[in-house]
Amino acid sequence: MTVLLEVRDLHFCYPGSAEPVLRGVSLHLGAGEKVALIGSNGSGKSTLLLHCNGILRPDRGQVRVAGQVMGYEQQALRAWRRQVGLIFQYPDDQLFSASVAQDISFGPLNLGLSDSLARQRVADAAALCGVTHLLARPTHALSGGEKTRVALAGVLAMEPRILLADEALSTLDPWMRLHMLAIFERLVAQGKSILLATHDLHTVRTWAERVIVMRAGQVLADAPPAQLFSDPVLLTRTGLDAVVKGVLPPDRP
Amino acid sequence: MSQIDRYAYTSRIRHLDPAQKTGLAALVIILCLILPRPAVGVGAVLWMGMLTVWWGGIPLPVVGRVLLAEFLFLLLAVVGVVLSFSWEPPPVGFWSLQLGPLWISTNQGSLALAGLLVSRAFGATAAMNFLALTTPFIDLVDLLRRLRVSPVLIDLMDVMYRFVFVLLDSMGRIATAQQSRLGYATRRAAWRSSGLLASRLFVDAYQRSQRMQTALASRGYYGDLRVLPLDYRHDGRVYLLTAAVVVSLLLAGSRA
Repeated sequence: MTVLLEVRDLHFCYPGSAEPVLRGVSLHLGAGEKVALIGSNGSGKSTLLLHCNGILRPDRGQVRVAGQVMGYEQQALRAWRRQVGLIFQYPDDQLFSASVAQDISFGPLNLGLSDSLARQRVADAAALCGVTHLLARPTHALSGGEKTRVALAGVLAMEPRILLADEALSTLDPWMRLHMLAIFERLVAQGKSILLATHDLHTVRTWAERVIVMRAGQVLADAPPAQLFSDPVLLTRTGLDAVVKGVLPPDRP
Repeated sequence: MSQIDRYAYTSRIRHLDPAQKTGLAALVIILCLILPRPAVGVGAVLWMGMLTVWWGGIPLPVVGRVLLAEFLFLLLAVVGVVLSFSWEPPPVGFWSLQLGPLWISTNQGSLALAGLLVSRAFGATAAMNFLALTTPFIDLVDLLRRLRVSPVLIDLMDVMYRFVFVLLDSMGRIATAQQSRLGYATRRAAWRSSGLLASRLFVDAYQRSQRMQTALASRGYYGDLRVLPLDYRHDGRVYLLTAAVVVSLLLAGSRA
């Protein structure tokens, strides 16, 4: 399997904070892979995803996309974001434009595409995400699920090979979540890779091919869900045993 | 604001080129301002009201209510022009009313001036109503973009417009959360809750702007919010209509 995204020994501490958020994180994502990233709040999932998109620069370590070490100059970042797309938890943070069509066109135009190509990308991404009927609508008039799909279309219009989703399904109802997972399936069928940060263990078990568990800025486990959820040693090490049993350990409030 | 927005998005002429609609409204406003006859303002109100309702598809009661509210506001605004207040009797030729030692007076000149002011402002307001109720804000921003207005100004307007609704949404949620904990049960609690809400909104707006900056960067933002221009229908008949409106207002303005 071709490795598309590789993170090597990533260390990061936010300015002004004494506590590092990432402590030597290493992981990889293969072409066409569906990987779930789980971990408690504050475990470093979002920070890791921001590194994978070049938003944050690590104190140590590197991110490779398709075997190339990524740089942080404007041109390098443009090439990076052409290949790695990131969708956020709250679509309201992502949708800046008053019009759906204009918002989706933002990424393609930033890639330097012509208006006609960008228009085509908008149409394709909208069709893939089922939001073609919303293109003329104002973004503020959309429902939560529609906003999430439009936000996804805005990222997919850049045609990334890797999609990072930071708890993008967490605010959706079960039906909309299924809809989003169906879109993810179509992307995977096109050979794209998806890294989904989530707290939903049902989605992890049923959708992911591999699960990466993080705690306190470190990767504790990286295994297929069937193996992870049946291995008592792995469950104990990752703290998932309590979640699976539905019992809080005595040392947690 | 959201109601005006809703009417603008559902208007029958929503997809008409905003340059054509803005051109018509701007011409009417200019004629109202330069032609010193009340008939021009009245004509403008009739034309614009009719076009908003029958062409734009905005319900008559909505247009009527908006116009009435504006008319009452304008009437209040010209009270100072129409009436003079004095402790002494007014000169000959003034109609007056004595309230104790106070004289309230007016004359034909003041009434004519007030009539002209109201009609001018009312005509211009009706033209603005036509534009606001049939043209969504994003179309106007798009028009400004086509007119090569500074991109920084355009970007700011775009993001501010978007943020108004995001913050209104936040405000609603915070207020509901406060109400559910008796935050507005007493006057004192209401004052405190309102203050907390305002400060929370400020923090919320700041945090959202940070998150939006991150999200924009992830889509390749380097200081310019570039988006595709919107598609509009260009209708040649609008020029005929505009010409008819302009000629009729010029006639109303020139008749002795």
